Amino acid sequence: MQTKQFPNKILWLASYPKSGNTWFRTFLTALQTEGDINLNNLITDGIFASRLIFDDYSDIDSQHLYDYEAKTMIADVFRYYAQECDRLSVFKIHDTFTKGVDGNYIVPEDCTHCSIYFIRNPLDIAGSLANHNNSTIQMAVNTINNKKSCLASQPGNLNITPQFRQDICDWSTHVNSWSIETKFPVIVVRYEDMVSDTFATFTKLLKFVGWDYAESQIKRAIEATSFDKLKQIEATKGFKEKPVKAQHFFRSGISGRWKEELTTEQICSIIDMHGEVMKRYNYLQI
Amino acid sequence: MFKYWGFGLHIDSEIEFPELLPCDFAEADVTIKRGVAPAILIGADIIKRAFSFVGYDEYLLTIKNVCRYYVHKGSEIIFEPWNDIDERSIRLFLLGTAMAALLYQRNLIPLHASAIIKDGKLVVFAGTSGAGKSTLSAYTTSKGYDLFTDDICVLQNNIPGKPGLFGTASYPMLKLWENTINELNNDQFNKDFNVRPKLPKFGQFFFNTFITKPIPLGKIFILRSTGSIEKIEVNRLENISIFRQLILQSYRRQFINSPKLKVVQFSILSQIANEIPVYEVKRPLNGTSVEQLYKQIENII
Repeated sequence: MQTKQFPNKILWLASYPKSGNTWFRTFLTALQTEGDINLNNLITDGIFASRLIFDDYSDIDSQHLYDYEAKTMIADVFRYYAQECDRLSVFKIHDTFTKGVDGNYIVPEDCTHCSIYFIRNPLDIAGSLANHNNSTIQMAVNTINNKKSCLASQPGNLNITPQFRQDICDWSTHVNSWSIETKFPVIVVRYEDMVSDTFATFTKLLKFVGWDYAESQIKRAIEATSFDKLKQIEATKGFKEKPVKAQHFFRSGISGRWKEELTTEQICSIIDMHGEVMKRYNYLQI
Repeated sequence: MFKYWGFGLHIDSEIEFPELLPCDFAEADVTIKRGVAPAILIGADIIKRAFSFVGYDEYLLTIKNVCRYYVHKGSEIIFEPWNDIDERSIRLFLLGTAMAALLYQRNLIPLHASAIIKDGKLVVFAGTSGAGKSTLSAYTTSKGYDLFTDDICVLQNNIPGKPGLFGTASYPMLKLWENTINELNNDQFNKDFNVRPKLPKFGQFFFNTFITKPIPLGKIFILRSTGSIEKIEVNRLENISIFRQLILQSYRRQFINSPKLKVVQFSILSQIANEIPVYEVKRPLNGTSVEQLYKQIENII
């Protein structure tokens, strides 16, 4: 990202899965590469849950740590990463903003510049998540409603996946953790606004971070990362972040597909559980 | 004191190491003892990392709630355990990171690799944690190969009277995850020895076939898993790529900071690039078995 700005600090791109996080990372990449996108080489610094980053910066084989031990150490790993970086580091994160067993937040607040929190209508996340996991819509609804949902979970203390277990909890808990509990600046951005007015929304996000780009640069990057373009690139060159079971990572990008995809029961269960937070972000006009 | 052979060194230890090879000797190269480790290190050559301090001949690692390790002059490791921590946990990190620091202090290069023996030479499987080194090594035993080392292979090209590139084993234990033991379905492997009490990873001892002498390097395979490919790919690397890729496979490569060590590393890796066939083996993140992986390389091994 813009070189030398905000050295030793971190920008967190936080979200529940399938909420526009990856799309924005491709946009940031296009900003730097003048529109030349390689999905398998996005220029952001990686994901918070990466074992590779942890191992490289901690001198410890994270496979040999219990998950609760690693979660009490991970903040220091990222403090060190930021300290070593002479520009703003940019990390994707799906973990809930929460505390480890030692009572400290797993995300280091002191070296955080700010966070962009991507929020999306949970009714639409369901279909997108089901596609991502190659699961049923009901399973995705269960994830969104389960207070103990997590990613990269493994039985026992098996530690063989490239990412740590990520506690994402239920959708409302996730949203509240990042939008209410944090002490650093957070901007909450609706996926639906990213789709309906991409230029205005992305421009606002760049300004929030403190990055200054010309209108023409932003427009070129948006053009290079339209959903059609990203789908085309994924089809021809692949995308390493696509789960093996998924047909493709980038699906439609359209908002409102829940009307065709979800049953009345599924819609009701999500609204029952998340109505209050949905209302706060204009996903319920009641 | 307990006396062992490990990593090519004679080791005196205050605590028992079931992982190491018992051995008699007059003078120890390394002493391992319980004691009070310093809280910090200070000096012109000291670099502070997330949980450690790295100097040319000093190293300090703190693993919260487990143990603090102080390694110095390539000859001593002092460990200071947290209250009530079990000895297996203390030993696991000591035989990994702390021992790597000690090897570097002795100007030796530990490669992050497992290895087997074919026709008197080493076939080395290098890669980061989780790349599949141990699994592939374990699988090859069913094809008649002998295990040589797991996780760390110490590289040398300056053994007196022995020109060429050699690897020395770490110790006679292979570490396998529970799911791998299930997948291998081989009576040779068991779930008797957890490497940490609550970790489903088990030590497999091979004392009977263990070789302590350095063995010439034959071939190196760098294992990598990636989400960007659909099927296994095997490519022989060219000189410059070999150098670049192998730098990344040095165990705890961030410890290579002294000028002398950089020269040693440069010398060994250059010689490998010129003399040893090195292959990159890429496999999809999920969905490939160790048998499929082996089939792709069995003719090259």
